[in-house]
Amino acid sequence: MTDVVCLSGLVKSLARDADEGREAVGLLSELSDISAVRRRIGRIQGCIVMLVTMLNGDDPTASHDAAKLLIALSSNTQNVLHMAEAGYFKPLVHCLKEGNIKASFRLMHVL
Amino acid sequence: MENPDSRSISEIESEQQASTEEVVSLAKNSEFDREIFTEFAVLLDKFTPVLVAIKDNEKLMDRPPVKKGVESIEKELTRAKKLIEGACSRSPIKQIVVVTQELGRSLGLVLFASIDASTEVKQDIAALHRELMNVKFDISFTPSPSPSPSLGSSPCVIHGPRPSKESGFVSEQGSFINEIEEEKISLSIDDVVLQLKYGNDEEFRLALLVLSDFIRDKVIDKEWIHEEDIIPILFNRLGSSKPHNRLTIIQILRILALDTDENKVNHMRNVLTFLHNFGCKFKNFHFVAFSHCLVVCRRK
Repeated sequence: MTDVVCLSGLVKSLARDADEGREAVGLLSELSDISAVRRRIGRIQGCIVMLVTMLNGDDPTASHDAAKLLIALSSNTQNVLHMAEAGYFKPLVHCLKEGNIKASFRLMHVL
Repeated sequence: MENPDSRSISEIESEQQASTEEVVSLAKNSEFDREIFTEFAVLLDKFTPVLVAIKDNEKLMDRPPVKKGVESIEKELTRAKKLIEGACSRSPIKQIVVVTQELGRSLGLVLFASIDASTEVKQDIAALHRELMNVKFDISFTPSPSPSPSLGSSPCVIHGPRPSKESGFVSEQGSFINEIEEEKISLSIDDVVLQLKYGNDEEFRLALLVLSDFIRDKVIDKEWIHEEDIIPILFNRLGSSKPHNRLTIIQILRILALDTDENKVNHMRNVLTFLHNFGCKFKNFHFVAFSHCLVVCRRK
């Protein structure tokens, strides 16, 4: 369930029907307890954009699970940048404020 | 989800109880096929305690899939009402069977989503679900049935919204439901694996329903799922299936993922209990316990 092909399938489901998206984000959120899953999910193209869209959507359950997953993914600097590109700046601000100097410097450099 | 329902599940439940009572009353007073409608009313009467049990369970009510299932029941109750009100000289028995089984499917959806419910509530729902799905009305009381009993040609046809768009558990056409149920009953565990792997959309859907039943009833365990490669099969079909099948696949995967987590916690608890019992023999008890926990956590 945690390999990249399976996770890519679930990420595709995020963009489909609302019910399917809600279940998929719920499953991804549950799987995100595993560090390898977090690493792989962040690399799947379009995943973070979809999660930010769901975070701002009308469905409270999907939004809650998307928020949980985004927090889990924000441990990676690259993911934080993807989130900022998608219009979700909270992790970026948090990282600049609280993160280590190296990560902050890297973020500033990219920005 | 284009038209989000702003009512709370509690309101839906209350409305549904009233609706159930109304349909029961209509069924009892129907002029046509009185015996059949009475049997139908008896079945509907059993909904009230189940709905009350769902309503009383706050955890359960917070789950959107439960709400979806409850809404689906509501739609079927509306169909039942229309069916009874529009009852005519042609026997509506087929349609009553269809409506009853659709109610059963909607209840199955609630049951499938009721992970947090107490065993007692789940047993009640499961019992009613089984009863609705296996319903057989005594047709000896009814006038001669029409030669062409298809839903589309019957004047008593209900044009209400089909719940198949709402959930992954309902069928496409009422007229096929009986056949599907018979096929479902006849599917063995081996058939399920075969249909999951190679079945067409319809066979796959049937196999998914049976698989979800097996998981719910604990007929199959984690080892079997692992041995038969069920998870890779489900992921493989996720990309090519119809929307309602995809939804069911993800719901099954969520339950399997949850099961794995629960197993992990139980395993960890067992390790800790074991170590605690023999802890006095170890000088570095905490270190050993922690190491075992780490090993368990690293398992996928």
